[in-house]
Amino acid sequence: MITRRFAVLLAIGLPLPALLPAPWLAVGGVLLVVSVLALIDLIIAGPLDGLRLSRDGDRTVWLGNTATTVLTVTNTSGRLVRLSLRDSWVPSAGAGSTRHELELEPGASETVTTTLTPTRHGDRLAARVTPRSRGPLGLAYRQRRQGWNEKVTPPWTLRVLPRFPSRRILPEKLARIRVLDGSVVARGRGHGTEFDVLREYVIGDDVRSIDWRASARHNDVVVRTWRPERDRRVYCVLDTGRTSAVRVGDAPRLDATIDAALLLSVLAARADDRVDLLALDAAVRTRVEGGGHRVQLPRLIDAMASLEPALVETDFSLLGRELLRRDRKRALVVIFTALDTAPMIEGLLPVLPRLAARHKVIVAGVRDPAVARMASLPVKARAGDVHTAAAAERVLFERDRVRDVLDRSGATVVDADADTFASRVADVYLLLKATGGL
Amino acid sequence: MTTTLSEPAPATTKTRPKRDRRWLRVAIPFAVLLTLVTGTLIVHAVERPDADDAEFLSPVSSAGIGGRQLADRLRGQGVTVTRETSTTDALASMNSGGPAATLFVTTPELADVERLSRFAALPAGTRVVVVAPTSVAINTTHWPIDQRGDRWTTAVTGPGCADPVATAAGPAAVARLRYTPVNTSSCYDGSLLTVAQDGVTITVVGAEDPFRNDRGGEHGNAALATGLLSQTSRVVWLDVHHRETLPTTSPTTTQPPTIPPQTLPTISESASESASPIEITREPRERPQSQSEPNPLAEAFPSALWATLALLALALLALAVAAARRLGAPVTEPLPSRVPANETMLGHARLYQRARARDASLDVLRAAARRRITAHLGLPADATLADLAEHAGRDVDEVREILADSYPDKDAELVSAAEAVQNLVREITGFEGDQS
Repeated sequence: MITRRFAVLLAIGLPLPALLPAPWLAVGGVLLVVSVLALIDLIIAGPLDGLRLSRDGDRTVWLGNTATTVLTVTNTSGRLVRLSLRDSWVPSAGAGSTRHELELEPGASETVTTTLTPTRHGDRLAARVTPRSRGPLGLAYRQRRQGWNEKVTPPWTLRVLPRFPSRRILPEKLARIRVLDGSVVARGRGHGTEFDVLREYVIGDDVRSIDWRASARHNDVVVRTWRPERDRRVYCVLDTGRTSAVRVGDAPRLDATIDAALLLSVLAARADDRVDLLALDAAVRTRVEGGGHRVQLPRLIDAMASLEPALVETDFSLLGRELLRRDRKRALVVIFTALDTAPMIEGLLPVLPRLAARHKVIVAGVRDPAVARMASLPVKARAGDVHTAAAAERVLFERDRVRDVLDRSGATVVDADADTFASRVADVYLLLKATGGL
Repeated sequence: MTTTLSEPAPATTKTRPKRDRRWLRVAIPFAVLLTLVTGTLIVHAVERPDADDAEFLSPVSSAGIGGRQLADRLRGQGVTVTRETSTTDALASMNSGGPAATLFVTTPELADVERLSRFAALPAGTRVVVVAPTSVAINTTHWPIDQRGDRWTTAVTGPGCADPVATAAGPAAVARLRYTPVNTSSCYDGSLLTVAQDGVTITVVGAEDPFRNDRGGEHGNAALATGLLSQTSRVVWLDVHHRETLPTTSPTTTQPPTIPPQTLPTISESASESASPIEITREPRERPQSQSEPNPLAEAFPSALWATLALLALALLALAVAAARRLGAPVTEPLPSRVPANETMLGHARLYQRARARDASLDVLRAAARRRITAHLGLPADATLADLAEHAGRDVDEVREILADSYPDKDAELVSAAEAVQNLVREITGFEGDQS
């Protein structure tokens, strides 16, 4: 292929037809000379077949941070290669400068660094590396077809972990877990139900918690202490259907639910509960079950990172099939979804009573703060504002009705704005933990 | 005002990199220079009198570029001035006998001067005065004259020769075109040249200024012009302002001998259609060639132009080809949904508004208000308005007015009714907005 220099060289020959006696011959001469030069340039340009590409660098990054990947180009051919190279990524990977200029001696290898600042969570792919070998004059170059480029590109996937804005309220919630532990010791039988340890009686302890048998053995008054239940199961169910794709504020609703599920998972893992994850829309998208306490959390985060909303109706009968299996133990099932009328009444409601009979069910819906804001009239209202307020009131009324219906079917409903959603879900979990409701 | 405007300007220029404007330093002087040169050329071309103009040195025109004052002066000296508007008529007039006459050619570029210079075209003793012929016009003639150089404008010079007319006139504005050979009859630094051929005296004048109405009063212009033209008792003033066509059958004896009689009718036909007759008369053998190549556009421009255009097209094509090949095609990926969560709600609102469903909207708002008040007061869901008013400590009629009766007819009434509902809820519950 030819470069712009080729055209410039032709343009430099423009006065020749006017100056020389045979104009058409001059045109042919200019064309011939430039073409021969370009052909020589093309022949001298180094071959692309001898290039070997390999990649190294970050595999995961939190959304909002910057990752770097290093592409190593090795010239295994016996000729000098002057290379222009483009390292293409998908647009949401936020790649910085993707064009690089290299000059590789035979057998030499060089590295080019691409910095990535992703704009969405999930898997971001390296699409292709396109090398272009230029000749010494810069008149012509060698470049292969797109399919060939994709074949030689070393595959690479950068997993972008979801934004976790609730991280800032995590210390507060963890402190409440610790308080929960301590309060059990102070209040004796308290809210915990699980036997912890025997210790000597101190004044102020509840006399009802004295273990008389142990006291007899020890010649001292010994009390039993209790702690909150451990090794309970928390089952996070993420709805990735069409209602999770819509935007609340400036992010998809799924981002808010992922944030809340992450907070709940971290809390539950710290409180020594087992956390499982199920993401589903028309089919089960992700399932993370089993594994130890400490191994589980990174796996959960990794699984949540790859979730994307699908524009399909969520099939909650899948959820029933998963959770009503005979070998399932009782668990706290937290369903992260949206409290829209149709999917709730037609999808979730039929399976909810059976679920609630076996498990403790929480239905957590992210609310759009704009609806409540529009339901009240602005200062200088116009007719359009009144109609908007009426429409908003209608939505609020329907949501209240859905909440009542779900409540009556045995579920606990959490309905909160996107900014307080994670905190509210965590509060419900902590409350259940404190009251031994798990 | 100007100070407040000018103050933020330096800040913006400082933040902007200097490199962006560096090219301006080079470009602006050249652009100014180019504009000046182009403007000057255009003004000069506009200001120059045009030979096509019917007023130009015409004996009947009193415009600035006309020659009526000169003609009047000649008549005042007893010279007969005959105005002819074609070379053929002028030749006829010159050959009509009588004393020797002067032929005054004002537009040698347009008139058929080649015919004037033919052998025996003019009777012996005739004087011919030609105004500013360029080398193009002179080359068509057989006169032993050549143009040597020209000036941007006409200059005033002294005669510098022994010619009685020139010495009598003194300095005059003649020096624009200069002529060779430089001999004793060459005056005004070569701008006034007189040669004799076949008994005809030919005088070429380097500029039209001495003959013009508006320049006649300057220097010795009028004296020079009058002196040149008043040597004989009769002046034939050739006043041609269009490119002369080939004369058809001439009543005079000076039939052009080079043209065969059988070709004359066809040539005269094409000539009357205002083609380019001068070229045809000079080179009649080109006609068969132009018939075999019917495209006049191809002949109108030299082949060098076509070749240059072809090369330019090739260069542009190469540029397009070079720009078309990308270093890697753009990468596509599915985008997330852009639908806001409350889109259905806003759609509902607009439908209400389009349908002017004031009653329906107000009903929804009133029902919501009743639910809130009922919940706040701890009443059963089916409590009547009277119960509400009683528990809230309000007047029953007022509550009923706000929450049940009075449906609005206009948008303004709807707004005030909705605001009343909202205020009632706020007053009773002491809470703003959504309380769920």
